[in-house]
Amino acid sequence: MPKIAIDPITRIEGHLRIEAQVEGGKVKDAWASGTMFRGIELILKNRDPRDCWAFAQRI
Amino acid sequence: MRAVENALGITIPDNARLIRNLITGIQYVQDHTIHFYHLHGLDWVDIVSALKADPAKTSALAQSISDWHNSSTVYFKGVQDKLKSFVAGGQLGLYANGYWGHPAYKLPPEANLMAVAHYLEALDWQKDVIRMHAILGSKNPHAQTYLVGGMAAALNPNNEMTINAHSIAKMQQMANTAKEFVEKVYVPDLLAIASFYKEWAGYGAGVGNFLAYGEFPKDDISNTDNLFLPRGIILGKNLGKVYPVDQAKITEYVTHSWYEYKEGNNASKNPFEGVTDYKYTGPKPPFEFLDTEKKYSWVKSPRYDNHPMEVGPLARMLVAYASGHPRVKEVVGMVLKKLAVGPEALFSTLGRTAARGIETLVVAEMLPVWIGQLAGNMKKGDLRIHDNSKWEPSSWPKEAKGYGFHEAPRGALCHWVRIKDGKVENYQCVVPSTWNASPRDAKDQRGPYEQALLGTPVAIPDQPLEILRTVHSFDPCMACAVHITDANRRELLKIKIV
Amino acid sequence: MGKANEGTIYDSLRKRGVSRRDFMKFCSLMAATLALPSGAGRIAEALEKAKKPSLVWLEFQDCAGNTESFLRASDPTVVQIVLDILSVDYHETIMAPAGKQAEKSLDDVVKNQKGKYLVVVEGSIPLKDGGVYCTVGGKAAIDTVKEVCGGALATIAIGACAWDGGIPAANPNPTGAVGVKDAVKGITLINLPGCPANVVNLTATVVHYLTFGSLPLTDSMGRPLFAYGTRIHDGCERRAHYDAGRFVRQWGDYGHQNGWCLYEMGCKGPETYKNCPAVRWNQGTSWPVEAGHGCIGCAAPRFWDTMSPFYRRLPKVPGFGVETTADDVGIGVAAATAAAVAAHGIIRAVKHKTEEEREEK
Repeated sequence: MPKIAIDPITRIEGHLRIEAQVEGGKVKDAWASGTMFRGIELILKNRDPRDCWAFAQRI
Repeated sequence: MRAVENALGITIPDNARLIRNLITGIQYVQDHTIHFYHLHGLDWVDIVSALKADPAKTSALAQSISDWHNSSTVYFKGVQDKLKSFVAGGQLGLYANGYWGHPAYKLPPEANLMAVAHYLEALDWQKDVIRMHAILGSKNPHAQTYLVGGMAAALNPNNEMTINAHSIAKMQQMANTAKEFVEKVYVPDLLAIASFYKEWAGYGAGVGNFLAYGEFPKDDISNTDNLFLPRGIILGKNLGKVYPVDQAKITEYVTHSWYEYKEGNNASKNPFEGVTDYKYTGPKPPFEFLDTEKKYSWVKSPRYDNHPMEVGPLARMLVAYASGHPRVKEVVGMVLKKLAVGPEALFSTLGRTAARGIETLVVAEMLPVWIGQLAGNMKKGDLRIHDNSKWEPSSWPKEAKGYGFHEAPRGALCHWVRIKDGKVENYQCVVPSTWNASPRDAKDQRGPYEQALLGTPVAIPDQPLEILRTVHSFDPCMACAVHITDANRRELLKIKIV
Repeated sequence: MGKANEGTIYDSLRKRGVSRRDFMKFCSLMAATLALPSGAGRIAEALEKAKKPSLVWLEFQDCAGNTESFLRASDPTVVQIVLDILSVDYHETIMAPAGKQAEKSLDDVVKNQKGKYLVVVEGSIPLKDGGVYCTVGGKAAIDTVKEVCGGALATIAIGACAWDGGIPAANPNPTGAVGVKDAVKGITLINLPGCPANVVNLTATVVHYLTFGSLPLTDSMGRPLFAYGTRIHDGCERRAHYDAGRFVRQWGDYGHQNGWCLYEMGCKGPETYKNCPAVRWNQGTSWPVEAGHGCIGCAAPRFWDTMSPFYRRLPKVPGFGVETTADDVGIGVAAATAAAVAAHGIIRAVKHKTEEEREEK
C-alpha cells in the first residue's frame, strides 16, 4: 500500500514526521518519527548537578 | 520520599513552592491558550471563510456565548476589514498554501470570523500575562531563578529590588487578566467550535492508557498525595480505577529507535540504567520515505509496565476526574453537558482538545489563590526562599541517585540522575513527547500518536488537514524545551544514598 | 497619506488601526534600542516607503526558545510583524501549511525572490555523519541552510545555538553541531546570541535594515554593536553594591533581600556583553540579575562550557588543571577579564566613531 509522508509537521515545537498509509479515505496505519537528536543526556555528564536545570530547560 | 528528604534535611520553603506553582501555573494557562488558537486553531478555523462573514451576525453569535467586551458589530467589521486589506496586499506570509476551503472545515463564516478575531487578541494577550514569569523568574522564555533547594526570587516588602507589594499587585492583575480571558474567550470558543465538530469525539482515541505524575503541591513538595492535580494511572480507558505510579515500572525500548542496547534490540531498560548509544541506520538524506519496518525515529519508546501511555492535559484531567477532584469533575460535567456527550467522548481528538481547555480554566482559577498565599506569608514575616543546607557540594554524599517528577504543560516528565563526587554520572530524561511520539516497541505496540491516527478520515490525501488535527490535539513538543521548568531541584530532593 | 504610501508598511499599519501617534512611539522605541539619538523620524520615513520584505525562519537543532521569544514581541507586537511589517513566509512553529504545502512556501521564496529575502536561523546544524541528526522534509539541515541562506539578502542567526552551536555543541558535541557561521561561508550574516535572544534586538536589527538599507555595525564576532557593545556589569543596577563591596553570600540572605551584588553567587555579568540591563525582558518587566539570580553569560562564546559551573564565582578558565588553587584561577581570570576589557575598549572606540559618522550623515 502506498504511503504518504508529512514532514515537517508544522505548528508544533520541534521536528516531527508522520508517515501514513491511507486506504478508503481513512488512515490505515501510521508511523511517528522524531527527526532531530542533540544528545543532551551525554552533554550533561560530568556537569555540576546544580547547573542541570538550565540544560534540561532547553531539552 | 518524605523520609528521604528528612534524612537529607532539605526542606523547600513554602514561598519557593508557591513561586514554582505560579511559574508553572501561568505557563499552563498561556501555553494552552496559544496552543488552542495559534497551533491547533487553524485545523478547525478557515481564515478565508471569515471574509464572507456578516459582522452583525458574528456579533450576535459572540454575545450569545460570552459577555466579553470585544463583541460589537463595529469590532468584528474592523477585524474583517483588516483581514481583507491583508489578503488584498497579496503577501499571505504564514497563511499562504493553507488548507482554506478544505471540505473538513465545518464552521460557518461567522464562527470563523469570531475565531480569527480571538486568534489576534490571544496573540496580544499572551505576551502580557506571561510577564508574571519575568517578575518571578526574570524572563520568558527560559526563566532563570531556579535553584536546587528553592528559588532566587528574593522577597522583601521594604525593598524595590525584590518581590514586594507592587510585584504582588502586578501579578494579581496579570492573573485576573489571564483568568478573564480563559473564562470569557477561550472556553466559550472551545465549546462553540467543538459543537460543530462533534464527530471528532469518535476519532483519535489513542492507546487508552494514561499517566499523570501530578502537579502543584499543596504543602511540602515531597508529599505526592497532596497535589492539586493528582497523580495516577488509568489503564484501558477504565475510569473506575486509578492505579498508583511506580517509577520502577518505567522502561524504554529502542527497537525502532536509532540507539543500541548491548543486551539486544528487544531489551528495555529503566532510565536509571539508561544509555544513549546513538547510531543512525535510516536512509541517507535526502530521502522520500523511512524504512518503518526497521528503526525510524530519534524518540525512544517508553512504556509503563509494558503499556504505551498517553500523557498531557487529557491524562491529567482523566486522573483527576477518576480520583474525584471536585472542581475538575464540575467543569468536565459542564463541558459534557453543553456538548451533550458522555464521558466516553473524552477518549478522542476532541476530548484531548477539550481537556486542555478544562485544565486551563481550573489552573487559572488557582493563580490568584497562590499569589494570595505568597502575600500572606510575606505579611507574617516569612520571607524564606531557599534552604542553604545542601547547597555546597561538600555537603552531599559521595554517591547519590534520584529522580524528579514534574507535569509540564504537555505532560508527564521525569528525569533520572546519578551523582558521583559532586558531578553528574548519568542523566536520563523521559519527557512528555517521548511518551506520546514514541515509535513501536519490541512487541510492535504503536505509540500514542500512531495509535490515535488509525481511522482518522483523510478527504484529500495530499492535503492532510485531518491528520494534523489528531496530531496537534496532543500538542507535540518534539524539542520539549521551554516548558521543562524545574527538573533538577526535585531530583536532589529525592536523593537516596546508594 | 497619499497613494504613494499604498501597500507600504506604514499603510498596512494604518489600515489595521495603528494611529500615527502609536506609529511614532514605535519608531522612537526602535531608535532608542538602536541608540540613534535623532533616529525616530528617519525610521518613520523609511517605513512609510518600504514594501514588506519576505522573511523565512528556519529551525534546526533548537528548543524553539527563540521562537517563543519572538512571540513575546511588544513594540511592534508579533501581530504587527507578521501582518504588517514583514511577510513571514515560512516559520514551522506558526505557519498554516504542513508537509509538501509548507515546503512549497519555502521554495517559492527561495526561487522567486533570490537575493531579496531575509532568513532567520534558529538552532544549530549538525555536520557529523552527513547531517543525519537533523532532517526536515527528508533533507539534512546543512543542505537546507546552504541553499536558503546562500540565496538570501542576509541571514540572522538567532540565539546561542545558531551562533556557535550552543547547547548541542557543548562538550562532547555528540552530533558535530555548529552555528551558521561555520556551516555556510560567504553569506551576509548577523549574529544575535543569547539563550534565547531578546526579541527587541531582532526587531531592532530588522528595522535598522528597513530604515538604512544596510545591516547594523557589528563587532568582530558578527554581533550588532547596539546590542552587544556594552558589558552587563557596566549597566547593572546592582553595580553600586559591587563597587561598595556589598555582596550576596547566601540565597535569601540580608544582601539578597536588599538587592546587593550577585558576583559571589556566580554572576557572569562582568564577562558578558549584552544590553539586558537596558532593554530588559518581556516589555521591560525584569531581567535575570534584577530578579535575583546571576547572569549565566548566555551571550558569551560557547557559554555552556566557558561560563559553567554557573554558580562558581569565577568561570572555568581553559588551561587550568583541577588542582589549581582558587588564587591561581583568580589571577588567570583577572588577566582574562583585563583582556576582555581591553578588547571592549577597542569596540567602544569603534562604536563612538560610528556614531559620529552617523551624526554627520
